[in-house]
Amino acid sequence: MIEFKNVSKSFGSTVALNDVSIVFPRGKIIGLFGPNGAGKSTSIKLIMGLNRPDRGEVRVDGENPQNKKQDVAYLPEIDHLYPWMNIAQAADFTRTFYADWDEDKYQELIKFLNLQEDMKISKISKGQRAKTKLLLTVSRRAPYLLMDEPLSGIDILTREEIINTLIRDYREGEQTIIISTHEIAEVESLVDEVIFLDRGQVKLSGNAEDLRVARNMSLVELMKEAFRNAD
Amino acid sequence: MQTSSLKKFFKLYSKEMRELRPEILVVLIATMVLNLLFYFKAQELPAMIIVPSMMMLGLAGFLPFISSFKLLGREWNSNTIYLLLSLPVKGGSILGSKLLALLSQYLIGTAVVTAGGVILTFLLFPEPGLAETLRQAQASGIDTRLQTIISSGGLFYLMSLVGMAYVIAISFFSQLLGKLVTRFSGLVTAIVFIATFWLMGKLMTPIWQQVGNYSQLHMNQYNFSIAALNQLVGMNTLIMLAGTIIVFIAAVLVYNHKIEL
Repeated sequence: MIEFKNVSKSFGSTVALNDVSIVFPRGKIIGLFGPNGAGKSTSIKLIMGLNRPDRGEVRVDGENPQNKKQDVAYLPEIDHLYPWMNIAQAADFTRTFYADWDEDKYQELIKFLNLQEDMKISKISKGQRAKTKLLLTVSRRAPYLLMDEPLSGIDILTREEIINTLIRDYREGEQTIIISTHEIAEVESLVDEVIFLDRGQVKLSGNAEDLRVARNMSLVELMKEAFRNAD
Repeated sequence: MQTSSLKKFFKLYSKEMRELRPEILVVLIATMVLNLLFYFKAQELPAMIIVPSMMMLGLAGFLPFISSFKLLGREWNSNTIYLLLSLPVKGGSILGSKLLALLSQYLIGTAVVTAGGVILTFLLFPEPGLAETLRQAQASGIDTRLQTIISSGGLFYLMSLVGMAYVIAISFFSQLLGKLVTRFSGLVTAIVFIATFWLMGKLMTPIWQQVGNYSQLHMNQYNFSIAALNQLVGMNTLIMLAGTIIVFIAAVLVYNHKIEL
């Protein structure tokens, strides 16, 4: 379980998170939704230990995130792989650091995603780079998978491939996936729980199905409603 | 399968060596080209034989320091710092692998230049030959025993290697402090570099002076001893090594506890 207790985080005068308390339940797919600047990426980075809270605390299974990197797979929005590597070299580099690397899954996924091991990262398209990042992240059997805007700037067909990969490999009850995105429609069918963030605060959270039934709205409509009221 | 910390370290090290490949190749190619050029021109100016080796030694010795800024700074410029910081390894491994790679670059560079110089000398001056040169040197009072050459030369080289580690550690420390600010990062890096260099100099100079005074008791221009010289170089190397360790630990602490994205 991942827990935020009264977490605040600012970057200079910009408040990214303001006294936020959230519980990300284990074994679910959780959508972290909100407009740009809502605090989604900061939340993901705090879980990954790439940021530290100014106040409050973040716990991953009761521990400091800095000590749980072994259990968390992270897919950032930006291209973070070494451009001179090819896919095989990037996979070899990643597998050295993680005991949960699943070689069979990697071999299966590389075919499923139409990638080739000799593809050089600096030479491939943006969609292929997104798929490569996904390949390296999902080839691990990590208990936690954090995805920061995995569909941003990706064409519709690649988006479908990414979502199908997630559905295909998700281990319900065992793995917790947190997807941060503002492309809610694309992942609506995927998420079990939702957290809507706005200007560093939680606007709405709960079970996706319960919220849909209770308000008779899709998640996209719910977000519009929540942010319209916020203004 | 659990991977050992050593294997993780060497994976990081091999990545850094791959990043440094262009600089290593530059030294290798430049040494070959310059030596060839001087080989064909040496008949006109035989005294110039020392020039290519000195020029290349300067380059081989200076490049790792320049590369230290590239090796760390590029992680931020190319966003690969996201990958590094998400790895389950601490700053000691990240910075240690970079330091070891830069020292390897120094070792390879200086070895290539030295080998090039020795080969060029023997190609241009096959006479009187190594044995005769050593005999002449011995006759003029220089201690040419292999043991002495290796111990003194090795100690001086070790001191230069530790000196390189020292400036690289200061470079890492100043760059990491520079990354803590969003504006004027380069300026902060430069100021911290100069300030750390000055401060460490202030700390180490009195110890160096103490060692120097002690050595003068045992060695002066009338009473020169290789053993005393080696002792002096060895002590100074140890002091510099202690300074390197202090600055490197400070850099690791900044990386582990202060660096954020």
